[in-house]
Amino acid sequence: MTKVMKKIPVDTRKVDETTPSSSEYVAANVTGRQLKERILADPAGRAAYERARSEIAQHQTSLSQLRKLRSLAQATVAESMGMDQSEISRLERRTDLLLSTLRRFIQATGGDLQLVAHFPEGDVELLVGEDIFGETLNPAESS
Amino acid sequence: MEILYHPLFVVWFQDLVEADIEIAGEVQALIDELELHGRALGDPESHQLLTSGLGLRTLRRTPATDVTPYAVGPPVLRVIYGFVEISPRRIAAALLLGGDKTVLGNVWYPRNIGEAERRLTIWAAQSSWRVVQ
Repeated sequence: MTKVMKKIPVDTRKVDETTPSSSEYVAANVTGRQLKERILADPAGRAAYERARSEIAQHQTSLSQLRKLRSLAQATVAESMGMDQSEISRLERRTDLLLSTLRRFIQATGGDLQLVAHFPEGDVELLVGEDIFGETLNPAESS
Repeated sequence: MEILYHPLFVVWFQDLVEADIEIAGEVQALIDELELHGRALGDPESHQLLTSGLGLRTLRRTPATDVTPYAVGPPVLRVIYGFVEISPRRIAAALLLGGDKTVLGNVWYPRNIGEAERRLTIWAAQSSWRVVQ
């Protein structure tokens, strides 16, 4: 049975014609949060919300969440990376980090880092920050 | 990250809750992921709007693909948001405008990005916040 689509509201209000007052801004933040309670109080709304949250969590995972999903303490990861626990804490909050550091973090949580670039024509796996030049490409030449 | 609701966005979201609470639940999930990840929230739930001079982004509720299998069908919804510094070094995400681009496709964007930018500019000026990208 196909779900009957209800009409999605359209927002065509122009803010320069209906500029809110400061109390309206405050009230909106309260109403906005109340809408969440209303959605979660409804069984269908809550089910859709929880399904979406768990799906999103599969591809929006921070390093700290990843570590927790693997049931590892910062201290444990620190030990396998040869770092201090405080350094792991900082690393997890960093917005930019060396690929080698990321790779070691992933390895410390039992994974293997692969980098894939998506192009319209297809995907390419990147060998960036890997020790590709240290490998012997042709064993016969190295002897 | 703290989430701020623009009054006109709330009107739309309230209408959405009344029209289809399941779709509203999916949009609420996106808002909560934004609260959790802040600026780090990325593809496919959030995209940068490249034509926005204020660095606005959009939350995306999109029919099922390999990476978003939870969406069971139309509509294709967008929630445009931006970042403001509400006090020194305290950044919040401001939800500005929601809409349905199922039929219009990318034609939906220009008018709505313009309106979202006006909403954010006026709101930030009234509240003495700085818009950050």
